[in-house]
Amino acid sequence: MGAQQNADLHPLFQFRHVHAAIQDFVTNTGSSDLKAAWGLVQEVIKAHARFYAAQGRWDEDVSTAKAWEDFEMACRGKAPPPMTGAILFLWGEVPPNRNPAFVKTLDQGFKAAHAVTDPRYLRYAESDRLAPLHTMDDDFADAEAVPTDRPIPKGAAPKPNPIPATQPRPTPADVKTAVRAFTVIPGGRDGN
Amino acid sequence: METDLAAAYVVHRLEKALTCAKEVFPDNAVRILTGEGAEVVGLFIDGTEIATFGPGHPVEAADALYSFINHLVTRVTAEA
Repeated sequence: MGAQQNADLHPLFQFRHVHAAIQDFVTNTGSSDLKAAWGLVQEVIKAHARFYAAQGRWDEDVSTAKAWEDFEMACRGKAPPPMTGAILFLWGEVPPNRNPAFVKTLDQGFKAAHAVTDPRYLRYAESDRLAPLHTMDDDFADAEAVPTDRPIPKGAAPKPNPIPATQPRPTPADVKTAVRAFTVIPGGRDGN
Repeated sequence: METDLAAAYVVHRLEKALTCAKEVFPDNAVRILTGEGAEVVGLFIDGTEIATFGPGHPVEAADALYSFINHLVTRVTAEA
């Protein structure tokens, strides 16, 4: 890929294409359970992003994009249990007769994202990014993809990558006193 | 919680989760807070909520939080 072509690509994973594709699918399906599962998946992705951002190595935009890369690996069966549990929960709420359409939705979303993302700065190898998307017929037990930190050089400043609206975060006191939305990650156990 | 064993397990699990989190946040204020009889557990770093699990069974919530922290710590440690 030439330098001129790379200059037109975003250094951060353009997850908004994936988000929009899944959002449209969920809306068109009209299932409240699917909508709830999609909401939980987004919370899990945001939790990953907050963890990365808290480290201070990446800012919020970069952390969010990296977390969505984790989500892609989960969709391809190559992520650790917390994110894999989220995608399994989502798949569990997709009406069986809509399974082929959901795979197509994911495929189109990821392809659209990669079409405008510079692969030089992505965390995961091309072989992992091209791995088949998994469905409920698969076991989601492939070897985990290993991330590699590829720092974004100065001069390749991240372009805007709008983050879906986030909900206000509770204070520690809120957590002690209020029952919050269910956010337990299904399949999160690791047996240790 | 229905048994002392379950309560002890939850405490042990959350202690392990806290220790694990401190590995990658040595200079931060890392706290694990619980509510509703440990049916809700959350990881907070420097006062910012990172992830909250629950309400659910305390064992499930503690397991989920531990798994979340453990796998992310493993990941960022390998990537650094």
